[in-house]
Amino acid sequence: MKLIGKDGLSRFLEIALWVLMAIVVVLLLALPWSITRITGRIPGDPYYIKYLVILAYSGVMAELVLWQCRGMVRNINAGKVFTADTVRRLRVAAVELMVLAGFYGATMFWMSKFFMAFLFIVFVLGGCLLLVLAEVFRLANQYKEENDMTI
Amino acid sequence: MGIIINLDVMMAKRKIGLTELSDKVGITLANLSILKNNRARAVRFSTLDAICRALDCQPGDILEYVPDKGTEIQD
Repeated sequence: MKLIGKDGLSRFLEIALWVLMAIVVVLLLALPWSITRITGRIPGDPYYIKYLVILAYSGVMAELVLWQCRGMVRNINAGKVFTADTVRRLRVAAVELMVLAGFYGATMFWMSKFFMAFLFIVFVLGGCLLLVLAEVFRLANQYKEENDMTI
Repeated sequence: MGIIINLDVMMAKRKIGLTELSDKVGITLANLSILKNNRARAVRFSTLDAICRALDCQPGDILEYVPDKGTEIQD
């Protein structure tokens, strides 16, 4: 099975990311109704507001991270794996995850749930991992440029 | 960098064009142009060997060291 290229797994991944982004938009728009339907909280309830803020913020940040992922996969499909753009996207995604982690870290104080602490740790680790990957891609891009300019 | 490639000088001496040299050496016109315009970061021995053979010259005829301004040799 081909992994990278127009008819490879990465092309499927690009389409899947588009679909996922569309689903996130639909879920975001449906939040005011879905919160009531799933949790039973109605508008005006303090928990309703908390759920709305947390989920809406998470949704927006997820959309931003997915956008960067889609850009990276698009670069890969175009045959430009090690580029400055991929490095930038990895860094931006890392920062977005860190910001999301910071938000979950802050919510732990006004919504003391184990789940929030778990997400905080997951997003911090995810952000750190992406930062390291960005550095790896930066070095790979540097080696590639060096190799391209070796005649 | 202090290394200068005098490929154009040797090409003029041998009265050979870029396209002809590219065919003889077996590297693309684009890469040869990078080399000629001093934009290359490194040159493979195999490339140098092919160029020297094609132009009937020594590596020293193509490569020249010119110290950068303000560069000092440190012990």
